[in-house]
Amino acid sequence: MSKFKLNGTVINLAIIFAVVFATFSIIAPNEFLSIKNFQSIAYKIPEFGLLTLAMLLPMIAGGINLSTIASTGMIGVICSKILTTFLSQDSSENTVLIWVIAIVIIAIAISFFSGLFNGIIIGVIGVSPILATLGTLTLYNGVALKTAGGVGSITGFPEKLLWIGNGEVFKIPIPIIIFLIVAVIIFFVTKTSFGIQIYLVGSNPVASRFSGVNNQSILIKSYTISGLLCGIVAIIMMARYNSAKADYGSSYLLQSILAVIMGGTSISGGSGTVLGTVIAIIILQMISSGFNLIGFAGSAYVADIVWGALLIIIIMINYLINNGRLSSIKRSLK
Amino acid sequence: MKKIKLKDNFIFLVVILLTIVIYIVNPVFFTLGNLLDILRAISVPGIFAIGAFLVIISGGVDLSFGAIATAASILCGKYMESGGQSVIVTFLIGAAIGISFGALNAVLVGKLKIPTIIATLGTFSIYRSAIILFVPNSTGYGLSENFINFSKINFYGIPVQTFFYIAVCIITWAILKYTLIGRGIYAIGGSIESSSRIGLNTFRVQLFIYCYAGFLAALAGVLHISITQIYSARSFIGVEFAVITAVILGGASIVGGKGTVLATVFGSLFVIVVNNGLILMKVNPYWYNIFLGILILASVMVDANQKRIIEQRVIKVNVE
Repeated sequence: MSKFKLNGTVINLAIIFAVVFATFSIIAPNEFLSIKNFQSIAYKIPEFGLLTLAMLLPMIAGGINLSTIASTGMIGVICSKILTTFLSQDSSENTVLIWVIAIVIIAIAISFFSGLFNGIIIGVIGVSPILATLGTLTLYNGVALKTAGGVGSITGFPEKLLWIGNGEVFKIPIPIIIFLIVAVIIFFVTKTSFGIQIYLVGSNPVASRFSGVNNQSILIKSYTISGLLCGIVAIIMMARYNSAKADYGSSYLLQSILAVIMGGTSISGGSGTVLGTVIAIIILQMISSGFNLIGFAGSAYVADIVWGALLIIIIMINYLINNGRLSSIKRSLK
Repeated sequence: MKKIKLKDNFIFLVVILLTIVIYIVNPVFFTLGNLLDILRAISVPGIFAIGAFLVIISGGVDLSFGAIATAASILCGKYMESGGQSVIVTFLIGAAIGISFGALNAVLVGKLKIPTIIATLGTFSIYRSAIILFVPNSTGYGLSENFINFSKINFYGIPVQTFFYIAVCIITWAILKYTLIGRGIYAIGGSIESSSRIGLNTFRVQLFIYCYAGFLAALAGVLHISITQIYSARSFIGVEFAVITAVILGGASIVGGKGTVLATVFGSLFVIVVNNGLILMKVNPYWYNIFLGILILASVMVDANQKRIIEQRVIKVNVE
């Protein structure tokens, strides 16, 4: 039963993907079907995609993580501050290399603890996820603002760090390789017994507790993974833009929730797949760069409207399909 | 029942304590000028908070009120720029936009059964972008003379915007306490299924909630341009979380069914006073979010802990 439902969502998304792709190919064949466009999409997907994956596990577990962007901003700002304090123009090659490696480790460490903090508040103390992460959103954002001393950006990173954001291996941008690796890992995580327990906790926490699942540890782990992904995004964003700012990517917050829901995750938890989410990410990115390419005034806003409309339509279709299925089950029972 | 009272007092006590601390550090806090500043500053976010509060006690979350306020303020601004002088018509335009956008939210939530957070996330993006897209030059100063005069009205120094806020609070309180529809809002927040089984027309209640919340959002939008004397598409970016924070600090339960208007007022007051007080105490403004974040976390953790203790008691009683 559940398998059938998952396939249904993925098929819906594949149809939407095909429709969007075909529409833009007909409207703007030269621009949309160019290598340059696909490269630009490939560069934009990783940040947005990783933030969306960071939203996925908490939402499957029946919660939400509103602090993703704030945490990313905080890590970016702290790491930049450390880098610009300890490195100068005349630092030797080796020092630079060591510091770049150190900064990646520091970013991962901070992200681990920021995620763990969310997990403890939600899992152990039992605060509802929306409130807990609203609090940490404000707190992390405050730490970022305090560290950066305002909304200004910190710039000037060594070449070696920038390579992570702009380098290519076999013509494939490094960020997209990182994104694919993470997506595959998360995909396999959802197939392990830990992953299946996340679905259980999401669909019914009381039932899962009585069937021997340690809800606390599942929640803590899923929010910690979510936090770790934010650390990876922070590194990619620093490296890609050669700067860090407290509010970088703030528009991604609602968009990443949208992408997760579009990918077939129910807002009440217990369902959702990595595959569906990744397709949803690609569709949304295609829409925004497609409208960008057509390039009339206000095209960004049209993309926004299409996003909002798509969200509502998809939920409606899912509702109608489920409703139809329910009534057919009822009929067959009679 | 007792617990709600406790939570009411909690935010009330925090506000009192905070004002005492601020006063000790900087006596300017209790000067008339500063208090009037606070009264003016609270009116717009305060009205937003009342609208968001209604949706939250009905068991939903509204993310679209900032977008509705943006739409209302831009269209009212355009009406005045094109030579419209009447203040009443300006407010009526705002009200019409707010109510119709709210009605659309209600249809999505009540008829099509879309979870509120998703429906309003979708309409947030649609309303805001549509208004910016279809109304060229969405920033301007060309307010009508009547409107500017209206915005300067005050009684013994208390600005007219504050009276709107007070009126909204009293009307909302009366609706919640004395009308059938008001009790219905708490009922569907408690359990929408049970309330429809006892014969409540849940869609009608939801239609009221979202239209009223939309109306309040639009009203706040128009009052905002009366304070700042400028309308802009960027005015209300990111206002959603600050307002929801105020409502939550006031103790409204995010799963619905609980909360009072008075506590929401204190929640809003708290957010404004923290902001004002940190400035007066000459604290670096970058501390503001850290301070607020810690307070939110402390408040929700205390609340969660209390709930757990109460639950444990209930379980014990059941066993016996």
